[in-house]
This record gives sequence, structure tokens and C-alpha cells, in this order.
Amino acid sequence: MPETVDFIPFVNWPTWLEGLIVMAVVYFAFVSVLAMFFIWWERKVSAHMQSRLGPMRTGLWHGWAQSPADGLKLLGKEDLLPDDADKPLFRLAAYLAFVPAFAALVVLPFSAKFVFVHEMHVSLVFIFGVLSLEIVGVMLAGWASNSKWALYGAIREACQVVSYEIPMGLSLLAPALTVGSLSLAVIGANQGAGLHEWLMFRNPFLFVAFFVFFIASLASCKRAPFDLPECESELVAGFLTEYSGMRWAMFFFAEYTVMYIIGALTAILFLGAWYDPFGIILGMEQAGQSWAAAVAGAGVMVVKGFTIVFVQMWLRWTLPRLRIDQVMYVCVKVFLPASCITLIGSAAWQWLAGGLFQQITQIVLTVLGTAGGLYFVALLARALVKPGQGILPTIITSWHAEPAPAPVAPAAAEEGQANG
Amino acid sequence: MDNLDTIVFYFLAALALVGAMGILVSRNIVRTAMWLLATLVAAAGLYFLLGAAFVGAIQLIVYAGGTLVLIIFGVMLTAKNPNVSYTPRTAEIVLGVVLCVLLAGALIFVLHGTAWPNNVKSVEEVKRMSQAQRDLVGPNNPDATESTGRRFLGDYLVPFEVLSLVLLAVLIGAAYLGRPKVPVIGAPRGVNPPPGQEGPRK
Repeated sequence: MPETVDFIPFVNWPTWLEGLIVMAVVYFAFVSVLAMFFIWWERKVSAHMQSRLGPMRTGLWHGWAQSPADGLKLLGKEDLLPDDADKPLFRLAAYLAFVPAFAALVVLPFSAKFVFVHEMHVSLVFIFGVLSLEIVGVMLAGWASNSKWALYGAIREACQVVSYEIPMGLSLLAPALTVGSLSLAVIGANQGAGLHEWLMFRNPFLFVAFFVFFIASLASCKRAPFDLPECESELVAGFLTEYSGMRWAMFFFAEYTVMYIIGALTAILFLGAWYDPFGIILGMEQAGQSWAAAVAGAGVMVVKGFTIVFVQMWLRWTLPRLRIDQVMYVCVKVFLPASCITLIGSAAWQWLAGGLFQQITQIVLTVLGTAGGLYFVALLARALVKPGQGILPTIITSWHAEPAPAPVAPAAAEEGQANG
Repeated sequence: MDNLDTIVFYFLAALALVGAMGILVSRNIVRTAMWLLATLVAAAGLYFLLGAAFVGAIQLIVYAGGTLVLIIFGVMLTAKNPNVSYTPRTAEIVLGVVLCVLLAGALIFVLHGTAWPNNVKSVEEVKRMSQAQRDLVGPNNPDATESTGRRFLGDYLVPFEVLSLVLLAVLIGAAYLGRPKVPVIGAPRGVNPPPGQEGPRK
């Protein structure tokens, strides 16, 4: 296992109490800043996808101070507590949703040398286990609110997250199995040599596992198109209906922190962790510049994590929400078999493939994956340059003031009426 | 660091005990589940403290993230009144106390009768132990996960597979019980009950 340096080595502090306090403060500050940045970013992304500008006034540059300002406002708000709520549980729920997100960051590596608090040889299982606790807070929120909207939201959350945990867990085992370790540090350290060594491109099964994992992780952190627990068009605000002020904000802090954790986890498991596509950082490591490599790696890691968070936002603002039966159908009948096949397939691949065949497959998958990625970047760029010709032209034109909305084809209109 | 370990141990042990007492005392089933969560998380914390990180993480996934969620989910779906409470009968209390005393007696008996590998102090003794004992001793032993896996798929393969068969049977049973009792329009072939065997319409 590679030697790691903790961000906050609290053994060195005079007493453990001081170390603990400093650690908690630094850590909480990091999570808050991360979440506030993501909330501002999400508002900007959604605005630009709808041909708006988003927050512009607070702060000098593009409304950067909007999130801190909102935070201050929420701190000052009255802490409403419904009369019929189960009050201790209602209060507890916000913390129960927040703590797992906080705890999962503990073992998340940023590069070969930096781990937030402590490197663990089963960090992958630990993160998965801790994240699976977040749902308890959400369900408790829905239950304790004693409101039917909140309860419906909580039931949907339970049924969705419990189901999607299985394909997510299975598809996350495929890279672990290929590398032969449950430690994120080791899994990451295996992908340095270049783009073709990224685990996603190692074999066809891992290529599929990447997509299964990404979509299942969207569902398990209840991002659109899987945001049924909130579902503001049907359930007021789902499990959040009765919450206000800082408690409400804590659920959002948890959500955005989990988004980053999921992004970082996807990057480590499938997308080359903290290595760049050309093997430069690995070269630095081999040349003995391990500190420079660690710092550059942390930068690469953050870029990759943020890119995946951006894709999550992009999906949220372009895709319509699924129905609950569609959500369950996709999980049980598509992802569950697919993830089983990817797991067995990558095990068999380990055993059978090798040599030239392995190299050819890696090259083919790399070319395929890169081409696909570039295609999506091109689509995005076109949508940004020419609104109305993007990924979902109708949605964007309808928000774009200048040209008249494209006429709806008669067949589509009839279908829309039939669906009600 | 011994100091910190001791404090964390007593904190977690207290949390587990308080949680267990809370399960007994509270009458509302969702609150009971929350006390259970405290106990389960404290147990996971104890595993982490002892260096058995894999067991701790699995404890979180299976018990806290799985079983507990299913309990709350079941309550949500079945309870008519959110403030369901439960009052035990006298016979149930007596039975419970008897079972608890028996269980506690058995545990204490086992606790005293076992030669714990952690009592082994010197390096020489550790060197003389078998691999299985070493896994139990070593804190943060990275090989513990691997040897657990090897043991499951090697020495204990038959019990492991039998257990998975039991789980499969449970799964099939649940799917059978969950079948629609009244015909569902548009259901795939074989899902609907055959004509003449439909249950009463609700």
C-alpha cells in the first residue's frame, strides 16, 4: 500500500482534544465551502441551460456571494416545527442525513499522498457503507414530519435507494476485482500509465459497469432524473416539505457533498483516479518528484470530480423525471442483470484474456470512449454557442426569447394530448 | 493514543448500551428503530476501533443500511397511525426476561471459557500462531479481508452455499407471496392468477 499523508495529521497535535477540534473545524469548513460552491454552480448551470443568467447581483462577480448570503438568511430563519411532528426524530433526521456525507469524506483519497483523515485498506467498502446510511435520515425526515407528502417522499426514497444499492454495489465491485484490492488508494495507483490503463477501458464489462455505476449512483443520491423523493411537481417538496431554515439547508449540504463523493468515487474507480490521460503524473512519481506529483494529482482529481458533478447537473436540467414504476423497472430488469453480468464477466476476463487481445481491446475501448466523450463535449459546446440547437432543442428554444418556438408536429401534439 | 482509544471505546460502549436500553424502553416502533441504529452504529464503531474495518463496514451496509431501513420501510407501509405504540403483555415480559437471563448466562460462560488470542503478548507467541489466529490478532491487518474471502470460498464453502440457497428460497417465497391476487391488466404472462383462483377483490 502506498504511503499516504493525512491532510490533518492529528497525532502531531499537543493533545488529541485540540487535534480533534481543529480537525472538525477544518473539515466542516471544507464541506461547507464545497456545498456552497456547488449550489451556486448548479444555479448558474441551470440558468445557462435555460438561456438565463442566474444569480448575478450578490457579490461583484457573477453573483458568487449568493450561496453565503442564502446561508446567512437560512441561519436567521425561524426554525419551524410542525405541531403533529415527532419532534425529537424530526430534529434528529437532519443530522442523520448530514453525518454520513461528512463521514464518507474521511477516507476519500485526493491523490497518492493526500487522504483527508485516514487511509484505510477497505476504504471502498467503508464509503459505500457510510453512504448507505444517508437514507435513514431521509426516511426519518419523511416519517417524523407526519405529513402525507413527506411520507410519500420517504417511501419512494426507501424503495429507490434500497433497490439501486444492489446494482451500484455490484458494479463497484468489478473494478475492485480487476485490481484485486478494496483500497481506493491501491485502485487509483493502478491506472497511471495513460488513458488506456483507466479501469473503464480495461475490458468491455468494465466499460458497461461504468455506466451502470454512474446511473445507479445518480439514483442513490436522488439526483434527477431520479429525484422522486423530492419531486416538487407532485409531492410539494417530498421529504423536505416540513423543513425550513438551517435544517432544510443541512439536507442540501448533505446532497451536494454526496454528489462530490460520488464524482470522486467514479473518477477513482473508472476514470484514472488522480492521473492525467498521458502518464505525466506517473512519470513525475517515477522520477522521484512525489510531492509535485501528489499536488498535481490532487488538482487532476478535483477537476475530474467536478466534471462528473457537472455532468450530474447537466443531466438534471435536461432530462425529465422518471415515473416510479420506470425507476424500478430500470433497476430490477436492466441494471441488476447488467451489473451481475459485468461482475462475472470481468472475473472471467481476468482469468481468460491477456496479451495482444487484451491490448487491442483496451485500444478499441479507449478510442470508443474518447470519441463518445468528445461527441458530448461538442454537443454541449454547440448548445452553448447556438441556443436552440443543443441537446434538447425544444426545451432550450422555449426559454430562448428571440426566435418563435418551433411548431410542434401534429402527431406529437396529438400524442401529448392523449397522454394528458 | 491509548488515552484516546480508551475514551472512544467507553463512548461507543455507552452508546451501544444506551441504545439497547432505549430499544427496550421506547414504545414507538420508529423510535425503537432509531435506538437500534445507535446500537448498530456503535457496534460498527467498536469493530473499527479494533481494527476490523471490513467487518465494521459490512455491519454498516447490512444492518444499519439494509435491515434497519427495511424495518422503517415496513412500518411506513403498514402502519395506519404514525404514532404506533406497542404495549407488551405480562407473559411476554416474563418470557423476555427469562430469555435474556439465559442468553446473558451463555455469553458470560463463553466469554470465560475462550482463550482469546488477544491475550497473547509476546512476538514469539504471535510467530507460533496459525494464520487464522494471526488474522484475529493483527490490528489493521490488510490481509484479513483476503483471508476472510478465502475462508468463505474454501474451508466453509458448503455452509456458505447452503446459506445462499436459503436466501434464494426466501427470495422466491417473497416473490410468490407478493404476486398479485387479483388480475392486473397488462401484466406479463404467468403473473396473473389462473381463472377461477382469483382472490376477493379489494
